[in-house]
Amino acid sequence: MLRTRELTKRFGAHVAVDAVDIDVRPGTLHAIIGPNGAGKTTLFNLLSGELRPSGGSIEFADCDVTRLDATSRSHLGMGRSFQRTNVFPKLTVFENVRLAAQSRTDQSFALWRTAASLPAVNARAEAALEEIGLLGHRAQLASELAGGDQRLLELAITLATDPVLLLLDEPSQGLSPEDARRLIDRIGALAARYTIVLIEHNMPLVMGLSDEITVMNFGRILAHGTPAEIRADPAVRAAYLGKTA
Amino acid sequence: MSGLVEIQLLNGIVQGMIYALVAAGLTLIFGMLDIPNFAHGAFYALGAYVAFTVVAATGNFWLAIAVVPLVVAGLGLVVDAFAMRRLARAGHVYQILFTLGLVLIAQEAIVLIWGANPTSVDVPRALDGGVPLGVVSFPYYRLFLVAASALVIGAVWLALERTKYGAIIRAGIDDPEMVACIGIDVQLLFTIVFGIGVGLAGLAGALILPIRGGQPAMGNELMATSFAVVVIGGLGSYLGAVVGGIFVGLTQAIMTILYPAASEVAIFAAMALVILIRPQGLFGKR
Amino acid sequence: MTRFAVLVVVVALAPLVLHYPELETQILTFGLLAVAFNLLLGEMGFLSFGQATFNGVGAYVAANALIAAHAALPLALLAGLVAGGASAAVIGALAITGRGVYGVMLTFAFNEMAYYIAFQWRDVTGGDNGLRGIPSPALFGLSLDDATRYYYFTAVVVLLAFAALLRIIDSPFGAVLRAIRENEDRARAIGFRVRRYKIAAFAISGALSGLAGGLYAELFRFVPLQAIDLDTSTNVVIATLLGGIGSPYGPLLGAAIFTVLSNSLSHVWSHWPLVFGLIFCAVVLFFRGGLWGIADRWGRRAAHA
Repeated sequence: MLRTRELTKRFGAHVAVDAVDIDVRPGTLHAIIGPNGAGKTTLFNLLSGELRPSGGSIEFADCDVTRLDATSRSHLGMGRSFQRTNVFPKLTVFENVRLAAQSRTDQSFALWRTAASLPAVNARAEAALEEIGLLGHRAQLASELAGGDQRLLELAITLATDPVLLLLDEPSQGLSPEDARRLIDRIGALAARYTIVLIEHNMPLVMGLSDEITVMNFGRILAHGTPAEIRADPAVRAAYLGKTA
Repeated sequence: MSGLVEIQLLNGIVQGMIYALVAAGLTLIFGMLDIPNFAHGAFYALGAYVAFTVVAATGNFWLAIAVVPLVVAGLGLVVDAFAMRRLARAGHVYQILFTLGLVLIAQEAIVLIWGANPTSVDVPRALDGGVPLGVVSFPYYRLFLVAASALVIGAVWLALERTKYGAIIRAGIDDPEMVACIGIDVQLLFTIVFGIGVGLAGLAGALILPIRGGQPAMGNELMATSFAVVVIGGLGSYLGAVVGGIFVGLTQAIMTILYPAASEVAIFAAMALVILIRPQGLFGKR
Repeated sequence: MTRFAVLVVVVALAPLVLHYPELETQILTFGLLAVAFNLLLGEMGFLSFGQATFNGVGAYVAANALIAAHAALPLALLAGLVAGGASAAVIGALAITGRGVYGVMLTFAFNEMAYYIAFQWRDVTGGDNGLRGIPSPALFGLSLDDATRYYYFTAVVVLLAFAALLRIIDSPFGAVLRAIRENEDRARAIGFRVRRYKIAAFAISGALSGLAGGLYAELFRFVPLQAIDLDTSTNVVIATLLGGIGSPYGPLLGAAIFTVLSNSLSHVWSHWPLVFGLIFCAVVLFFRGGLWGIADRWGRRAAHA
């Protein structure tokens, strides 16, 4: 589904991501973890298209996307979330999601239609809110939602773009433990329908959820395997578990 | 050679130093503090008029040059402390709009206090006369203007590059929270920088007064040109503002010789070219 | 819809109540300019500080079409509209290269450039004497050379343009503009080519501004250099903010009040801009919704009570 080869990003002399090979198989939830400064966020931005790689390649669904920008990748079916809550604050929850659904149509330059009455778009938006459990908040302004709900809305926006692959960047960042748990449960439910790449700092959260885990440190891949293998890996324990646990 | 071309070029440098002073102040405020100050030209005009009043009252132009930057900087401190900070959270658009209101107030206040007619002062007596150049001569005062501007621009540059506070200002721009942790009142520091920035504009207004005189709309005319200077030099680059200012002054002078009708348009054409070829400006980063 | 109906009635009755059809026509053309400006500011979140550029381009093109090409009035207005839109698309494309404030600066600087071009290009613009000799308005053989008749002609055109704009605001395209205003990066991430939408919005805003310019040129059969100068751009910004950027009706209200005040107060006290500047600063600091925002709040409170 998603494959990187020798993916590298340099910032001056600093190599943030160093020749990383990752294979995300269809239908799996693949977590990328690592301590702060391991290069996770840089890797994520390379995958989503926010950053241009210094070397290597990215393939998505057998298509070389290395040179495509974020907008094009979104249209290919790579949907991303953001580490900080990133919604349209002064629009309603429904409008937030409707915009995302509208982006999949060819109606966005239509000047003579009414945005609120595109049936297919409305249906898609409602489905995304339903899926994420926010339908009850549809008329509220996004900025008025609680922090955890805003993060869910962020996810609903991404879902409404009909992605094949979800790229989630530290979704639990800054959430209370209960909210983080709630969000992770939602992500677990989504894993049945989407291929997911989840970047996460909070390792215990992803252990029970992931099919495969890649551990990064100093821009390189330290280990790769199932949660059980990762838990048993001495190098991972030394670099990561040892520090946080 | 009659010296006329040389005079034109020298005049271009004189005008360029004025642009450099104004744009250096603008770049401190705009590029480093990230405050869109559309009233920068109004501070320039106020500088000229305050200088006029000081000269009228005391007959001493040197005193005017010393007093004007302080008075204008003081006004800047008030504006920043009372309005710009408050509006920072509302966003840039509202900061622009507020400074736009200031332009209206300043322009009309000038008419009310000093009248709508142009004002002027004589060149200080010590600088009467000029350097002979062919059939014409180049006034000493203009040489003084270039030297004084260069001195002030250099002093501010040294303060930015070589002092602890300069380092903090530059660091504060990258990471205000980090600097706040060191225990420095960043807000106060930024307010002072705002004051210095508009003070430079005020000084430029005072320096140009004996050459061009003052008129209420002088700030507005300067504003668009100094935006072009900042875009050409690179937003946020102090060096870029200075080089851009001299470049624009010289371009105007050369165009005045070659094709006067296009001397103003040429600057904006140069600006458009820079945007297309090098959007970050000649000396801008990124 | 009801608001629009009220607007139509007000516009239709205005000349019967106040007998200054020229002033009222000016309100309409300036109002259209403000509404066009607010498509960029209120909907897309971009402060265009060069709206007079497009107004002036439209006025000069329409006027020259009438003078030199003896074009029919609708055709001349259409030419002004197209020219305004084209100039705005070009300047918009250049201005949005940089983010935020940088773009505002560029629209401002390009306005000054346009002003100098108009100032120098006397054959087309008349320079600082203004462009004279525009033939009196006529529509399919019917003379509009009467202030009240021309007012009603302008009213129909402006109301149609305004209705079109309301439609655009409610369209999927308008929704994308609001997405850009609220969060440009997120809009890009969900797949919108933000740059294209911005340029299109500039073109629409410029087209309506060009139309306003054409209507204005025919009003006094004269295009002053002020039609394209920065003071006019500034006035558009001030009037719009005074009226309120939160609704398309706000700029219309602001334009009406601004035009009336600047025409009447300048006779009373020549330094009125001083007071105006103070009021404006107060609006920016304390009443960001403008007059329409205040009226809206009262209206809602009354509805609740």
